[in-house]
Amino acid sequence: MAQEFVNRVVPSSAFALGVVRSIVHGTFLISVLLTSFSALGTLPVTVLRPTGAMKLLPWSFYDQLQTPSGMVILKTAMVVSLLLSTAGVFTVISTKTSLLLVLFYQGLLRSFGHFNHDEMLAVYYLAVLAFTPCGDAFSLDSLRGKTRTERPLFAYAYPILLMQLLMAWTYFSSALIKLRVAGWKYLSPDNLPALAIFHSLDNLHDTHFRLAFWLPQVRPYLPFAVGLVLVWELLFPLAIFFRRARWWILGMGVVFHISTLFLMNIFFPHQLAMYLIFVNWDWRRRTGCVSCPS
Amino acid sequence: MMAGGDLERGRSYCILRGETVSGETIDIQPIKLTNALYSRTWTMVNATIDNQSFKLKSIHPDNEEMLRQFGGIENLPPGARLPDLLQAWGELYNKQQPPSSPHRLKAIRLDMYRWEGGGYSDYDKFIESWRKNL
Repeated sequence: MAQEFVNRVVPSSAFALGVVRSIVHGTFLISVLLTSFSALGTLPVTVLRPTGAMKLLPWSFYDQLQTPSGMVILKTAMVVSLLLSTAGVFTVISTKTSLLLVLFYQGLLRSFGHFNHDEMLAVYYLAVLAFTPCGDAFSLDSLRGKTRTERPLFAYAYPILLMQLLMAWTYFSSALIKLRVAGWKYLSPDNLPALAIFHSLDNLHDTHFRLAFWLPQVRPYLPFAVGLVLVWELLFPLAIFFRRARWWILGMGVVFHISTLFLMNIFFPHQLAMYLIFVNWDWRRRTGCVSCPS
Repeated sequence: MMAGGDLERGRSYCILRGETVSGETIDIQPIKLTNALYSRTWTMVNATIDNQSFKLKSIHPDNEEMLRQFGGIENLPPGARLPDLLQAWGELYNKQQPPSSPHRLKAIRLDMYRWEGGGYSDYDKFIESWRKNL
């Protein structure tokens, strides 16, 4: 009965899971291709602060890696692995190597800076995909007849449900944490302007929009805007179960993340790309419709 | 971010600037030099100013050596490793310029300012600067 429920609320085919694999791995592939690893390799290893499991590696390893040539080797390994996993070649192995390489790379970046959220959801998705039959369709492996196709539909549906639940949890728990840490003070009219202006003062953020300095002029209305965001985050789990609510909730997510870019110079491109797992790829394949809503 | 903003709390921030061979002072965006760090550059700079890489359980041998020279972390100046970071950014910036360009840098610096809070004005009280000749 639980399996029937899961099969009903999320796409339940090898094709849908294969498309999701291509989206998640392809997102990291594009991200890595657009990144200058050799420039990263010029940063001094002496400012590195290995975090979590990264502490287990000796400094001699980082001395070798944190050079332009060391980082180009890492980039090459990541591009090859992500190309294979995106296209679905040797999927059982390539999804795992991509997970390990991306996890290590994200750990390295956070050892320089801080534990930001943007890519983390997609990293969890890599972990889910590495241990599910995501190469059974929409992969070069399946075209070569290298995969089995007699699995129950639930095997393809539950990973997608798990990924949707993970996204819902990130937003829902974010609202809970805000309320737990700041309580009702989070709705203070100075909350958003003070934070947004701080993130707009330096030139170390990725963008330098100055819209934050306009916020004090609309200060009385800001508690309503912040409250609306909190309600949206708390209601995000409904996007999994109610298709009609889904597009409103995801649409508001797009507006929210674009707003944080212009107001706070903080953007979540990887997280936004992961919204595509809510598309019913089975339905789109049946109808051949790309632009109409499911 | 989870705690939200607090208008009463002062905050320091930094601006990366370069001094060109033609005598101009220009703003430099680190994201255009090391785009891998994307959205983490400002915390890397803050951590470097705070000498956090010297406060680890296992610190890099070169940092251990520097600590020995200064006689302990309490004697270390803020941003002890900032010159190395500035050198790396300065060299990356100059690599992007033609050899004869007047926009090439002769020095690079990080200027720290403070917004004391309490109101929506006076955002740029100068605190200090770190400079590195290239």
